[in-house]
Amino acid sequence: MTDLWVAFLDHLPGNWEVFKQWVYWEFLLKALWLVTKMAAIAIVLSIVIGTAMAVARLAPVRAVRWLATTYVEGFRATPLLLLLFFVFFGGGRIDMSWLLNIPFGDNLVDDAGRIDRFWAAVVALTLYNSAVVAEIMRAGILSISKGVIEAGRALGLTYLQTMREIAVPMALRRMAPGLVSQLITLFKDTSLASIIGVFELIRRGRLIYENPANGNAIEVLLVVGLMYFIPCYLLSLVAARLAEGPETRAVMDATRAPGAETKVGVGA
Amino acid sequence: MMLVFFVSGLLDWIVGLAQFARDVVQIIQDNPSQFRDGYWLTIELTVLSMVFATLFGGIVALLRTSDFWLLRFFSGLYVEAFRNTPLLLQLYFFFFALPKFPRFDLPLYGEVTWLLSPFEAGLLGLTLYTGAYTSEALRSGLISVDKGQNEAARSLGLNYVQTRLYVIVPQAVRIAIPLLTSIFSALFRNSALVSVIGVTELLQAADNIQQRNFLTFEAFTAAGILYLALTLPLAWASARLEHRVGRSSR
Repeated sequence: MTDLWVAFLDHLPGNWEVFKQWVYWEFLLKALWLVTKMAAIAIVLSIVIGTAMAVARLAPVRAVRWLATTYVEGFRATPLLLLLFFVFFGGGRIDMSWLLNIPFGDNLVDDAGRIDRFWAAVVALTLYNSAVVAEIMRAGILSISKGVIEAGRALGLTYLQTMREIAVPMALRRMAPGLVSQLITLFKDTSLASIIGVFELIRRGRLIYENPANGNAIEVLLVVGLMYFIPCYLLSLVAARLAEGPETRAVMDATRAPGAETKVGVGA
Repeated sequence: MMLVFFVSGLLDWIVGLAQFARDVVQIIQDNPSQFRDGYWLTIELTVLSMVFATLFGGIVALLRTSDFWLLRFFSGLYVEAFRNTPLLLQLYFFFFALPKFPRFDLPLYGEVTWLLSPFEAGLLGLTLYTGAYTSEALRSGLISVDKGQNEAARSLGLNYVQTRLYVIVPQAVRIAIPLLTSIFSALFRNSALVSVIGVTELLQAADNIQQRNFLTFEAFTAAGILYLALTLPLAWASARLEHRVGRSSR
């Protein structure tokens, strides 16, 4: 099997020497696992915070609405790299050694009490993506017919209970395709963590090709690109499949490119 | 007693915030040329790549909806490849990997070295990455133009190319404008990435300043406000346009 693989690489144009050795694949696949972990933690946190922000943006209290709107509009319109620099370099200026004393907190900071690179990236990704998820969820909650929410209120549920028990579960199901496409964006954006020194895919790829003995930037970057492409493409297929369901079709038709609803009108 | 603590704490906080706002303004006033040059470069990169990406995306969208399967296949390959890999990787590819391609002589042009300046590589990367998104936006516009329009134009005697160019494309662009506006806003944010291949745009300028005077929060907040000054109006414009187009097409 390995002989076949080596023979295959020999016939490709370019310098594929490193990819004949399992250690290089292991080196990159470990990074893929790290990236997957980072994306998974960030998307879970983003959905939790984003949903809370969506509920807060529709809340009956004006101050809450205003605060949530500031959070969402602010973080959504800022470059992610800027947020990353803000969290990482800014976090490095604040002494957070108190985190060392609480359970799990010692993962978040290094021994000197400065923020850990991996978690700085997770925080920045969460700040940006929770704002985007909040917008998706808000559209989802608004797409539920008013009668359903009013029925909940009429049954004596509070605003928060109505949201938690009725609106949010419905919106989550309807907005699943949008959330999956946001996960694709998030997965790609984990590459930014390389800039603050996390040893993820791109940085490890650079370590390989910047070694003068290898010097094969084209080949390594193609392999790294494939490692991003495969999960992202599969996720985009999942998103397309989810969008086909009857539950989401009505919403997608309404929120997709406006004018989609003219399909019936003009030609008939 | 509690109330006194609360009020004094709140006052402290407000005073601190006001001081911080003053420092942010101060840092812009202290480094006017760096912020101005960085800002200008960000705007230049974004506008140029948006123009190129819209034109290129338009061509790709036409290819993706064409009747010839080979064109559909290759344009689809381009869109999926550039949408499903990080922009950072594409920038590294155009800046670090492209020069490794073999050089050759082109008649009338001279030697093709594949070497790009950081600005050119950034422009190329942003254009091709955004082009994949603009092509999808324009394609959804093309698809949602009613079939009857096509049939009517064809039966009036227009040929395939005329029908596309004079009947379908104008309607498709109109439908796609809100989406294009939000892509434009995303492009502004993505342009911050070209700092990693050595273009001194707004974020890099702020980073240079904070490395010199250690005013990390102030420098990045200043940059953030300058970004928001461009992206927030675009986001609002996109929402307004979406509302307007949605209403008028009904």
